[in-house]
Amino acid sequence: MTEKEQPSTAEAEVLEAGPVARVRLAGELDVSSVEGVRPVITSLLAGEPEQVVFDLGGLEFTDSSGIALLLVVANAVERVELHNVSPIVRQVVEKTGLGGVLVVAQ
Amino acid sequence: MAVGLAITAVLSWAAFTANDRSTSSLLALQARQTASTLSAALPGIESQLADALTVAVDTGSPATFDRFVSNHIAGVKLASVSLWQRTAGGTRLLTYAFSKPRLATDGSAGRAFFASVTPSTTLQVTNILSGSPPRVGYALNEPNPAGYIVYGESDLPPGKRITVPPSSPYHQLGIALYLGSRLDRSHLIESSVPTPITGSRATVTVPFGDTVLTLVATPLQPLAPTSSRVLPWIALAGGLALTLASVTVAGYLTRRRRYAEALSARLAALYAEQRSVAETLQHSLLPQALPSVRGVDVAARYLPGAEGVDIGGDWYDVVLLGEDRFAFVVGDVSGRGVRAASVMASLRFAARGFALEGHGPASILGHLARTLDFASEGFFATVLCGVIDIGRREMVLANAGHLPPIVVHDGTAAAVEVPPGPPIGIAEGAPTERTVALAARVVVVAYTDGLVERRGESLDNAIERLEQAASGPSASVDDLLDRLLKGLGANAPSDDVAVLGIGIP
Repeated sequence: MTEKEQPSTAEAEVLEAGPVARVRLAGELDVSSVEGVRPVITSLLAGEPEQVVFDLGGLEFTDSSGIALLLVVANAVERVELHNVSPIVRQVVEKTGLGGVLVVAQ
Repeated sequence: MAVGLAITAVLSWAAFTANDRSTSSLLALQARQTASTLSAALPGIESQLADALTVAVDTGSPATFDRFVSNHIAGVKLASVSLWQRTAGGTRLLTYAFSKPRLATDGSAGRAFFASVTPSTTLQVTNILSGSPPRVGYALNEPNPAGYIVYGESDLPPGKRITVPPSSPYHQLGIALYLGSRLDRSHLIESSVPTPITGSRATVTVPFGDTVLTLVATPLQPLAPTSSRVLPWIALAGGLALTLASVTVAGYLTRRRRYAEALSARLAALYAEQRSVAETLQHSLLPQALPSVRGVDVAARYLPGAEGVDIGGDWYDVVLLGEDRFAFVVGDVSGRGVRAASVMASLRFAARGFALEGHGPASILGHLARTLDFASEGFFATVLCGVIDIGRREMVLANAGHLPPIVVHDGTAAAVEVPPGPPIGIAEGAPTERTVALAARVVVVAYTDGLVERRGESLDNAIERLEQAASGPSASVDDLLDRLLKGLGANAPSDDVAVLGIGIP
């Protein structure tokens, strides 16, 4: 229900690979921008990490497409933690009942 | 030696049948090429007559029509172009150019033909008009208030015979062209060989105004493969085909701009049509009518998202469980497109089934969770489910990752927080239920996130905006939903919006 505006952009960067991978997600995640960051996530999962820590400090917005991307990761690894979560994104995770699947670090 | 003869015989037979097969397929191909060139010429004559008709309608002046026809259609081999007007008793000839229409000299044939002409964008074709030379007439009566009909006639070649010049790629073909599908002399337009054509032949039919042309072709000599370039039918000297082809060229220039405009309008229409197909599909997956519950005022809205032509996976449903009890469901499948919509449909009908079996909201969602697996299907769904018992004045709610409903009472709206379990498809298990007592005259509103979600705003703030928009007096649940959609600026939402309102007395 957003007004017409600039197309949203999002970026993803693997900060650290290995069994506990760290990934930075920033920008606005929605149905159009999610495809731009998906390849980063796909190649991250190819390394078969056990745990993924997302730094969401730069993530201003996510809709269900962004949540779906995080859920893809949660399905593939044992644990997903979300760090530096903004109140806007935190509420999306909580209200979607995903607090048990995507662990929001305090 | 006997073996050698046998082999020779087989080889000869094979060569013969191969040649025969390739001859007949070449013949069919060339007949099709000829016919398609012919049918491509028809829009030319249509557009030229349409231009003349437009001039007549716009100016209402036979004199202007005359000037237009002599300036723009002169040089084209139409034997006659005329303007007619419908009157109470039939049709009246207003003016004509080049020569008097053959139909006007034969009163009864003219009356019969014009009586059959109806307002249409299709060219309406006469029978072959006898005389010397014979003619074919075409009438165009695009719907217009003045009741004008523009009418043209072409001469057929003398004796209906044409010669195919040796330079033509069709020189190897004998052809006969008929108006309509009956192959007799009275329907013959022209031919290059004596008719009827017998023996090896190919027959092709192409649309021609409100009738058809039938082309019969026969090989005059062994057909050699011609170049793949389709040389135009214009190579056939004289006759109807040449007339049509020259009209095409003249018509092309005057109609090009209009064509471009029509094309862009058509593209816009196609886009709208595609969207409307998607919307029709979406609507067909939603309840066609909500059940009526005694004294309960139920209304719903579904607005498709404005972006793209993909359909979304939002839905709502109401299921009667007894005289005073009913279940309601509002859900949103992640993602878009036909697959999302089909997941939506299966969830919707599964939820109905679980509700009718007597499951409560948490149990319905628990069962639903087993029907969808995000890991294998790539979709999940947030779903709010409630069962309302009017007699006991209570509502039981369960929530799988969905936004909370709001309850409007005495003009004040408040969200009813229901502890969310994970969305359907993410994890198994039933969420916690919450039971809410219902006061008199309340409206329960359940919705999908498209109604409230805004970039740069938290969901709490979004829900607060919804509460504000829902507060205040409403004449009916319909009014309330209209006000919500308007107040939240959901006229052209980017995401799909589904809203269900339930007014309880």
